[in-house]
Amino acid sequence: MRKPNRRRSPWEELSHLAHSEKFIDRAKTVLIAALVVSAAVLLARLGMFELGGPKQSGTDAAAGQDTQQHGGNADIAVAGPYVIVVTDAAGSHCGLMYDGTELKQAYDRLSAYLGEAFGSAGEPKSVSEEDFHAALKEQGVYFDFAYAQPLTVLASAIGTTMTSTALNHSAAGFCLAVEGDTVALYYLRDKDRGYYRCDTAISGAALESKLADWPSNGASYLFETDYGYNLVDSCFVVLQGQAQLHSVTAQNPVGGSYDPSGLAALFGINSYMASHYTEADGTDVYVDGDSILRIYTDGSVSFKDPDAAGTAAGDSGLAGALAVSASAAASTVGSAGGVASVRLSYVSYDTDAGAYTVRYSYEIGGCPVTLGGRSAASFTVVDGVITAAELNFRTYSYSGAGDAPLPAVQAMAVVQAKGGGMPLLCYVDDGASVAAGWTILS
Amino acid sequence: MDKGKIKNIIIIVLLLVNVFLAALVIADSARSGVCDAAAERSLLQALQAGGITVDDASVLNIRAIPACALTRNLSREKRLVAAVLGSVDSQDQGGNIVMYYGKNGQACFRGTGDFEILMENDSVPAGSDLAETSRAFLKKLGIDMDAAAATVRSGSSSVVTAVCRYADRPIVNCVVKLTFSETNLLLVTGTCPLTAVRENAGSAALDPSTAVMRLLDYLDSSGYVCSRITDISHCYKMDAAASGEGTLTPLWHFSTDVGEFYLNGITGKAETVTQNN
Repeated sequence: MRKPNRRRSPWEELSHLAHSEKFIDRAKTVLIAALVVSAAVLLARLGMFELGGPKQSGTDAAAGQDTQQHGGNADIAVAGPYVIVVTDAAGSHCGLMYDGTELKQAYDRLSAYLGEAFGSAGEPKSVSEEDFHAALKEQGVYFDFAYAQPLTVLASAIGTTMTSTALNHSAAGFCLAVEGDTVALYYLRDKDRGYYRCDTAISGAALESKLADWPSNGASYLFETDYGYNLVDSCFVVLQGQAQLHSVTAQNPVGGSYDPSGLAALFGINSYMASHYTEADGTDVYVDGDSILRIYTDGSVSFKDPDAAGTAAGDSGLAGALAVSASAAASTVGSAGGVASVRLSYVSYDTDAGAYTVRYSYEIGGCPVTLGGRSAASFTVVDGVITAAELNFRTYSYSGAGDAPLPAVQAMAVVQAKGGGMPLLCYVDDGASVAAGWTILS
Repeated sequence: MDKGKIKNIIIIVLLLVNVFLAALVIADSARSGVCDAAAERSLLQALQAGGITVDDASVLNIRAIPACALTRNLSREKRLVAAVLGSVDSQDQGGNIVMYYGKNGQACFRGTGDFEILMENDSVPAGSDLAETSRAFLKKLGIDMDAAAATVRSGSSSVVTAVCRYADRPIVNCVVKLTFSETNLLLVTGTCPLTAVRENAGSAALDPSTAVMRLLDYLDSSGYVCSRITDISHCYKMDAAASGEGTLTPLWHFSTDVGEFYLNGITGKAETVTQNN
């Protein structure tokens, strides 16, 4: 007689399932997965393994901060201003100059407004010098970059893009003036092409709220004073008291045990494969096809490769020229500069040759360094490739002493006697020594 | 070999690996605790030798916090503005300045996090507790407000000033001001934090001992004569460009008998903190 089928209780079902081979196999798989995850978590705790991909270190973040401050393309090394003048509602000025830290802090906090002004600028309208001077006396802020910069380059570096036709202009001095509820952008085009004004979308109240942190320090523009130096640039800023700079010494880092392989590699020359000879004056010459690299004993370097153009797959426009030249400047004269850094000082485009000329200058503590008419680095870039370069390697260090240049009033007298221009306090490096002094920007 | 046996071997090996790693973690943690305690003792001795007392030594055990990368998220911004202004139309003014227009008012937001909201239509009643009304309003805007909000009454208007927070830490230069009439919220201005996109590893951040030593160096070089540290805490500072990219930098905040000092939590340099509004 067949026994009737008895229904299993749930417990019996579970027990039966637990004893099935299939279940045990699956349980083992799950356990293995759990143990792998557990091991990964423990490894992460020990810092041997990072869950969720690599993270940027705090140091990297800090290092990247300076470039991120101004946003935009971090590869483009753009000049910071050498002079910032903050003007309050009463028309009193706070002039910031000759102090790299002070200038940087102020530019970090105010550059966003310059970027917004560029980005929201309307069409430029020509204005008179009197209008420009009136704007400088209004509540606002004035940035003087000393060397004229294409507005589009500055805008890109600050993180905005321009739509106004002002992007085709170059200028060294920019004024953001509060005009009622809004802020207007004024600038003087280089080569005396006149003064311009653009409307912006910045609210006057927004800029006003930022300016209170810089109380007047008695600075004044030359046009506001009674000095009467009519040939000196009327926008020259006269600070009360005498500027005190660090005394600086310079060395030539090239020569002796200098290894040129890195420099040669930068320009696509294999220093071991290229023909090499030393001239009678000690100049090292590397020749690789049409590429010629000459390393002089005084620390200057020249490179030429006219056939290099067209070999790059990168950006052949201005952004590409700036990126490739900034990278080259940073890895050569920039890294060897000691207390000096390099800043963009000149950009031009030769339509016939299709070549950009990009120059960088040394800057120490908010003051430019003049090298007897030479730049720290000058590059000719065609189609995003460096076809020629001139580098002047110098390593600067503070001597520990102070350096007191000629007072501004006397400097103006000298500039007036020499035919006029804009006096610019700088370090004058004549190759043998470095001293704080004045140069004239025409 | 039988598949089941292979799995058994793998399980045993993984178990052993896990036990080994767990032992390492425990040992590392214990060693770290001992090192922290030793560092704290050394630091206290160094401070005492310099004539400086610390009110509560436990503040020296505070952990470093990481920096954080920020970016402006326009779609999130529009959604949050719509939460307070109702459905909004946006208008790009150039320069990363965006205007929003809604039935409850209009707003202007900038790439740096600066913003201004002008309320209309009595849409936000002041209520009996202005701080609480402010908190609720800022929450809709996605802003976490610090507990310490100051309210200043002037005639028929009142201004609530609030410090924004990230991860429960104040962002010292992200300050929002809410202006109320007797009945309604009228105006909101200030700086809001941009959207956090990536936290960086905190391993390179300054530990408390190094931070205190940097503070002492700074006080010494600046001519301060400090004899007492009353508190040490963390906060953030936001740096943002017109492009809408920014960074939250951790700061060490020291309260001493000669004043309040901020040190960059990554570089150790003294920071001047200025409120953006």
